[in-house]
Amino acid sequence: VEPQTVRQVEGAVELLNDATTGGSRAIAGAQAEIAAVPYTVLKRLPGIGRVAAVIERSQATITRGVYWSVRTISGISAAAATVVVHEIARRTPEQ
Amino acid sequence: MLNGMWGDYLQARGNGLAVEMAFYRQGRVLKLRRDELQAAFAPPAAPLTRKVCVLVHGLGCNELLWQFAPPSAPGEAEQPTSDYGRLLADDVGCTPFYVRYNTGEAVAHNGRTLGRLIDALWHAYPLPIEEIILIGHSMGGLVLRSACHYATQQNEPWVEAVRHVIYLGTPHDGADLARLAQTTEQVLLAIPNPITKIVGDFFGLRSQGIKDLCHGTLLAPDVLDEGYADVGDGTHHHQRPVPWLPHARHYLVGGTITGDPAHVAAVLLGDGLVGRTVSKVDAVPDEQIKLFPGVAHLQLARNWDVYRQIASWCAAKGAGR
Repeated sequence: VEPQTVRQVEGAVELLNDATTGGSRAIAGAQAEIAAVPYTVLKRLPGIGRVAAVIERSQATITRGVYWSVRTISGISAAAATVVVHEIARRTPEQ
Repeated sequence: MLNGMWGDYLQARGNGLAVEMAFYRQGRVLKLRRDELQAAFAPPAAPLTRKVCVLVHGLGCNELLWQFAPPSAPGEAEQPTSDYGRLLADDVGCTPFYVRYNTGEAVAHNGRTLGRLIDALWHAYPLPIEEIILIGHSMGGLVLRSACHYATQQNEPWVEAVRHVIYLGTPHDGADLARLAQTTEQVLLAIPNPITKIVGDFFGLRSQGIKDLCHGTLLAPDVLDEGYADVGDGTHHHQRPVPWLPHARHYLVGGTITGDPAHVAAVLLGDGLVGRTVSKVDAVPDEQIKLFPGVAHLQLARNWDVYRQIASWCAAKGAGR
């Protein structure tokens, strides 16, 4: 395996991870912005305002957690893929 | 293609997919050392000559862009794949060099780098170079103009040897498609909606190379500017007109997507990608401007009629406008 090929595979993995990370951040931001609209109304209603605020916080926490998981899994997968690529490159001349 | 779309990002991140500018021969980087050049052009390859031709591809392409099969006579076997460089080697006696580069980088960056690359070729070349022919397709033409500009500023010796500069479908005044992308981004970001903002942000991620195509920007921002982000406001220093290399002959080649250049589709869309590319330029006499109706943008880099025109121009003696 030529060093350039290894660098390109690494680059593709890195780019995929960048796209996943950046994409998830952008979508999470948009989702939070969209979700905030009904909560803004609900929180002003007497009687359910406080409950709505609690639900909003819970939902935001869960949503952030899901996107964080996506980014973490993506990062770990990218790191693992890079290790595998290096290992394949290291072993290939010996075969 | 990736380099064309996000090449500046890849370069800034040190990503292994980013292409480094170099001359390529048979898919490999051509090292600019005297012995390497002699070995690369040893028989059976065509020998090195004192006339050099540099071919620069456009956005999202590489040196394979130039390959095509010339037409064969009726009854003859199909011609082997060739390209303008190899054909010019046979017909005009020049030695072709094919550039591959990261088309997502700013045109000015690529121009400076190309100037240095040709300078390295100039010094490593085993023979004294007497004449240089430059051929650029689309963005490649802008990169060539930028390279000549910066090389002139740096007093690089090779620029004096440039005799012919041929621009194939080069958007000197900007490309319609790039302007459409810019307008789309601005409209999407202006809509107060998180979804359209995401799409607008995505459009905004396109490379500086693509953004430079909006106005045919050849220069890097300087201390009088506020960076590339101000592209669109024609008052900025890096968007000032760049003089055409005065001692060289410049040739503009354009195409249209229909055989009739007066057809509404040809008038509106030009060659299908960058619009009309052969409008009148003061620095270029009319006889050095040629329109090929029915030849679309990419085909300008691999068309037999276009080649014959290039060959006749390159065979012409003399220099200057």
